[in-house]
Amino acid sequence: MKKLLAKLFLLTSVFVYSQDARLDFDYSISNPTVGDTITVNIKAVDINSSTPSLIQFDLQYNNQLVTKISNTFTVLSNNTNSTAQTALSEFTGYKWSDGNETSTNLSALYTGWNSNSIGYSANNNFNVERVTIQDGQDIVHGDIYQIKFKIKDRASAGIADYSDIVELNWGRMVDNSDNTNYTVTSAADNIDLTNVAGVNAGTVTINVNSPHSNKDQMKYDVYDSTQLENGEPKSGESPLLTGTFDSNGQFQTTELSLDGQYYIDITSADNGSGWMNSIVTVTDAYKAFQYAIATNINGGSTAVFEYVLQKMLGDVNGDGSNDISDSYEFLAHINGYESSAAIPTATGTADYHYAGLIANFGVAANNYETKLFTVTESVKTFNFGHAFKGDLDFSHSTEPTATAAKQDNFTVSSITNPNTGKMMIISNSSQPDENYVLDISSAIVDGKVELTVNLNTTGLVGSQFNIVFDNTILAFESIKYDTGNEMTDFSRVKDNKLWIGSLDYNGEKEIKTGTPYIVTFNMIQTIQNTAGLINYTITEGVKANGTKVNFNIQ
Amino acid sequence: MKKILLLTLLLILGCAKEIDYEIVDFTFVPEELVIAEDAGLRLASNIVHGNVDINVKLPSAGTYRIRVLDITNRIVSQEKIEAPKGDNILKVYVSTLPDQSYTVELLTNEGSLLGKDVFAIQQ
Repeated sequence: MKKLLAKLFLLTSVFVYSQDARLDFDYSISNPTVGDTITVNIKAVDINSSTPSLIQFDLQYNNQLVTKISNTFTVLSNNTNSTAQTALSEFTGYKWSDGNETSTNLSALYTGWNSNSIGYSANNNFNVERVTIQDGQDIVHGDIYQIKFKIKDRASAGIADYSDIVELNWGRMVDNSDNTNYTVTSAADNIDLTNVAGVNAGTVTINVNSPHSNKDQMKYDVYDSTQLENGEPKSGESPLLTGTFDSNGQFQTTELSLDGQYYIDITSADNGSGWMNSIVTVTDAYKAFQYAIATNINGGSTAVFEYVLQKMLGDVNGDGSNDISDSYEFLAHINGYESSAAIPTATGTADYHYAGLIANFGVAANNYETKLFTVTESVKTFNFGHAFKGDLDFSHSTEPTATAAKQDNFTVSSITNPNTGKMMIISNSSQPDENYVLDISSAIVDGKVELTVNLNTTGLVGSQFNIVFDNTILAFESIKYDTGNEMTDFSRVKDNKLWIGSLDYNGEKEIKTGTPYIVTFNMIQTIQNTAGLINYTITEGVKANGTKVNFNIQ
Repeated sequence: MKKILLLTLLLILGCAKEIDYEIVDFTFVPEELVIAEDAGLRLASNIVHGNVDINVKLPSAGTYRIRVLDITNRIVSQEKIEAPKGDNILKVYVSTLPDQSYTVELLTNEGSLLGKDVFAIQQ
């Protein structure tokens, strides 16, 4: 009877107080990125003096999210079970279901297999590994199996996240010496990865909102944020992406990653066409003078630009102020001189670009330009503003749209020229361009070629004509001005280029109507006519209030 | 005998009807520049390098304009010519123009279009 009670006690112990163990994942990965390797160790953990000599489990992984690299029976390296028998069976295209069973109760899942919806069904996205380890002695608790995976790009598979990349389906531990089946659980039966970097973002669209027609000459260089130092690309770093925008000012890429942070530089190229010579013109020069002459000796100014960014654009000599020395740099430029100032030219390479996300473009608190952008699942289109140094009238630059980009105290009619007492207006958006009719033509007159400019409209305080002539046929001789006695005229000839114009930077004097300019050329060769010999690259005027005037040549 | 023949010749010429001769300026027009209409403009070639011959055929003598316009229809060069009625073989010079395509137009001095053609600069 005692023996019977003892046996019943032992039996009860087996079923009610059976020893427990766990099969757990042991892995670590920081800042997971597509392409990284993740090493997963499966370890046996003792809870209640378990002594298994057989350990068996099924592990499945999502073959769309990870690729198996290798596996190792680490149990063989524990200095005890080096002669243990191991077996690995691999099954492709199956997915486990826990049915109604608790997913971490691995031994219950094993015993419940093929009942209560527990079991496998075909699924091409999953692979299964069945691991069997048995030994003639107890298997030491600790690492028993290791498997390595490479993280794949979930975007290409159309999967929303990296949950359940690896999962323990079921597990069992048995002491073969007395056929004790242990209750096996798992602290966590699956592995989820979050914040995986390098997931392809799909199509990302970048726009530059430039108002000119040479947007296909605008260049971009995109860097990963890891390539930055003090907010700028490190010296010698090669951009992740480089190229030119299309004629609409757009480029698209599939090279960027979700949640990736990037830095963009937007610059431009002239490629010999000369379009960048047209960025800074007499209107910009006039605005620069208007601002400068309202600046006192202490740097204070009664003039107010409409946008804070204009103070940056107007500081072409980079001395931190907008004064008369900047203005003369502008004047030199429209007169054909390439000064050291950061004014865009056909050949210049100076740093004259401002570019940033349009939402912050021109906002002083954002240093006028925010070049960092982060691609997310919901934001894959980015709009950038771009401005050229010196482009005070925004003829080729993005006019800021952010409220904070405007000067608080700007009003169109509140500025007085200290020299003249007249109102100065140096705004932009409130001054749409005007168009004036102008007659400009060449003709052979008394054996010479004359270029005649006829102006019939009043109100111009400045004008600019950039001219190119065929200097294999024509030789410049002279310019005859009839712009008014007090108007300041300028001209310069270099090679086959001629710059002529006038500017009263105080805005008091107007260019006389009639024929303000006659340019005379001598013929080097005998010609019968002049068609195409003299070309006009810039023809522009400016009114006293700063309005840009486009000449409509008739 | 010689004197008789000379007198006879003088007699014949003296009795002959008087003929009026009109001297007309003649401009040789190469086949590629011939314009059938009374007025118009024609280029010798629509692909140009350096310069190209152009026939400017005018309905009457006077002042006319020859314009070169870029793709945006902006006048990049304009000439005024004084020329007689009919064919006028001139040139359009393109050396200083950026390598693009242009329209050349013939207009009266008042701006009425008489003809136009399009050319491209050979790069």
